Amino acid sequence: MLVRLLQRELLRHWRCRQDLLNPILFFVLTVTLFPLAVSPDGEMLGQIGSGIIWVAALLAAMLSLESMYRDDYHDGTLELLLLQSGSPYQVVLAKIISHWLTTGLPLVVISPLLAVMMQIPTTAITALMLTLLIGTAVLSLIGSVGMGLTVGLRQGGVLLSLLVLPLYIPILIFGSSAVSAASMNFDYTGQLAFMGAYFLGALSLVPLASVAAIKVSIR
Amino acid sequence: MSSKSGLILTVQSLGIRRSERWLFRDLSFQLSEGEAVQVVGQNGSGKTSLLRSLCGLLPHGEGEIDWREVDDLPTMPIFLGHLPAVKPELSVFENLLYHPIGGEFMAETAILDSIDEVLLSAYTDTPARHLSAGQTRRVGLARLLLAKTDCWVLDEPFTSLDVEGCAWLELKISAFVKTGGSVLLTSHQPVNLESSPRILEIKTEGSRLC
Repeated sequence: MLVRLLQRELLRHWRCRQDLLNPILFFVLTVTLFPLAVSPDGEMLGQIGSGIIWVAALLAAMLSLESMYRDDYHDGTLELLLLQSGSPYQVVLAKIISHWLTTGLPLVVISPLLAVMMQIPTTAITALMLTLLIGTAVLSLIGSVGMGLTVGLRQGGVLLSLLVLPLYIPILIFGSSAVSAASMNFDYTGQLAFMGAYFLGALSLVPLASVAAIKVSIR
Repeated sequence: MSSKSGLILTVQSLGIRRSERWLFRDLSFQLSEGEAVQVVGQNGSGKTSLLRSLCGLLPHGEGEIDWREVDDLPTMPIFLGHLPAVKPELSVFENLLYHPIGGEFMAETAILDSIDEVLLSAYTDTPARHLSAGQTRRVGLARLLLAKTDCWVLDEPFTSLDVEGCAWLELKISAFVKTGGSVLLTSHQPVNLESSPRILEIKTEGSRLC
């Protein structure tokens, strides 16, 4: 069931593949603007680089949250899936996984390039990729609850950010601090462990919360 | 009322509220095997809300909704609502292939047969956004043919269908009822079935079953 639902999501994304470029372009453009605006000085960029990449990745992934349930809500397929699939949790999980595969994963893949551009030490690039890997997955999870709640509203965009961002701040703090720790050759397993725990907590609670949120929205 | 074992749905003193206003209260009726019930009422009287809450899409304010249970699983009706539930970027075939009906995905041969039957075989691989409103509606009707459920819940199924389409759907409903299925539908036009449907009229001051 989950595999077929996932196939459906990925096929849909493939049919509108120009939309997939938006978050990546946003990510790359925002990060490239910083050296122009702040200073191209290598030492300075190395210090603020990890934070910039993290914030840009977060915003890029959040931009694409809208597409998660909105289309399905408007053409009625969300109702159909909830009613006829027999397991709404798998529907939600398939949506989250496909959102991560289509926006989170590309951001992680392109991040080393930006890290080099921001003159982040090579020792920290692994840390950046690892933390982004967990961080984008958490954003897809938490975003699904926020999107489920706001999908029925006409202008849910701002509300969505208000709902999602506070929950996402711990991940941002630990993620960027892990990268700075790694760039100074310190141990960053503690931060990774916290992020992992946050991810597992979200993974276990989010499907329940998302289904409840969507049920509120489609009445 | 027909025999107790043949009951598919029992509704007792149901009331549905939209914010401060009760659409209707104290609605009781039963739906048994091989029976078609047509829900009628003015615009805004709560026909769609009734069907949606029976399917579990809308929480009801008061009362009981009991679907017949088989192996402890309540009957899962198939609901055809105002929204087509057809993804414009997927083809007709993919729309039926990737959307589960009654908890399972359909086999490809069964899907092709159903597309044939709703006269869309020329459009099997056409993206659904190129279809007309009536054709999109037919994709939804193909789901009815695929579903293995005992109950169809149809909200205005005749909208945007052509004359032949309406006649075809009436035939299908008659045939489904004959095999023991039950149909709950709303429609403003009279529905010509082989045995005419029971009428359930919804009014705010009290509903009655003719």
